Amino acid sequence: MTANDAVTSGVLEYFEEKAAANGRTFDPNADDALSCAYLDDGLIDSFGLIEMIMHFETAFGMRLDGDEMQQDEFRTVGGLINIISAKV
Amino acid sequence: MPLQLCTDVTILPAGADRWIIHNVRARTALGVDGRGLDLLTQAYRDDFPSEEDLSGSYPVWKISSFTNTDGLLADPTRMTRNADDWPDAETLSGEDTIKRFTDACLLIDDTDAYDARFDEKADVLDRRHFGNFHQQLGQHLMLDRRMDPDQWWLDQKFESDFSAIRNNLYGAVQEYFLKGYFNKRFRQRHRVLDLGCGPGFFSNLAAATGAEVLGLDPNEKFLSIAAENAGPSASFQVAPVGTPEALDDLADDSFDFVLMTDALLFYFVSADPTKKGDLDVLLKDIGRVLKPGGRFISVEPHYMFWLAPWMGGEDRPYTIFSEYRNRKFAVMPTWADFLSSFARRGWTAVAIEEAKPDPAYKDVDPRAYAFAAEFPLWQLFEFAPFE
Repeated sequence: MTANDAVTSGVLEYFEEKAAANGRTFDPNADDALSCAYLDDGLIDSFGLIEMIMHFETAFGMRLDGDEMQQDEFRTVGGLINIISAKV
Repeated sequence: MPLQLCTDVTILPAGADRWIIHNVRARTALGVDGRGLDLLTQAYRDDFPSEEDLSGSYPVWKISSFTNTDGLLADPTRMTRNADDWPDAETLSGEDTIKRFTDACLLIDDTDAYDARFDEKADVLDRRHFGNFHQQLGQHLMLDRRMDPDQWWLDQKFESDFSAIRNNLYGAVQEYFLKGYFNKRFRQRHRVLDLGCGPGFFSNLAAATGAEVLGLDPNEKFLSIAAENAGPSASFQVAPVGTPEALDDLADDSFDFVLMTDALLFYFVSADPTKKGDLDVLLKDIGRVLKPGGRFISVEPHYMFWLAPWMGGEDRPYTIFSEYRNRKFAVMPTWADFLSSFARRGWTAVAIEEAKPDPAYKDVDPRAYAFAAEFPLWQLFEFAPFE
């Protein structure tokens, strides 16, 4: 598994778990999985966001900065995978 | 529309050949020297920005920051006001300097887009919209500082063992003022209900007068702190303050005073507008549990001066307002809106006070003292039902 594959599967798995915990469904194999806007779709809430960021930073050994969080890409599952993949 | 100087901008002196360009409404600022200032003023030319404007190089100082990180009562001015304290300058091309001017809303090219920036944030990731103060604080703590807002709130207000308020303006104004007020108003025979008591500091301060105090709060962590510091006449219970059932366990006509400190504001402005408390329910409940002749004491941030920028000299403060009716940064309603919300529900203000700081604080933080002495930071109202 390449580093990018690990990011993809790690991020998808994270949202699948969080969706289940928050009473939502997220199918990582669905066609629209990557375009899912995780905050808008309620997979996590604002308070869950900080936990999510810290989880990915620890899991993938990088730090997400303010500029990256401001990008529209940061709001979708696929965009997040792209941003993290570029840093690992 | 061409780039133009934003009409919300003022220029402040910061030292020899150092100037702060400040957007009063957006509360953004940038440090420049005289040449940088000159570049900004070129925006009045029709052909701005020309090739010549875009070239050249300029020192620019990043002096804007969320200064309330040190606490809600820290300097809210969001800039490093003295050039001696500025970070190292960045040397930027004219083009990049102009970009900094536009990023900080000092130059704008679209007034509609600029106005839209003052809308509420869509969520915690939204940096495009300034949003209300609660949203700004939450975003800053979570994304920039990676801190839990509840923990941060405790740390900025209390010493680490929660036995005392920190010696900032909370201690020098709020504690100092309320200690005097409670001693004046509460007696041993009184029963006091502290709604939204948090970690119970003020419940315990009220109980120190000998009054019997019951503190209610939804946050169990806060209440365990409250109970640890409780004296013999204070007790605490978990209750969903802010919901219709919150006071159901309390008997009618059972309290001489109901107290709320820094809690009622969330019935007017909230980080999440869908989660505002219901004032109808609250006042009905308070009216029910108060004895005849009882009073509701509301202690909240001052509607005008809380978070107003500390401008001017250390001992000669002034402030500056960009909003009053159309509240974006303010956390409290105007007095007209506040008092009429009570009047509509059958309550009238029978006493009003504006908190003054402890004179001893002058030596601790002269600028903070001078501001708080001139511009009150807390307001106290005693409300009673109409006869």
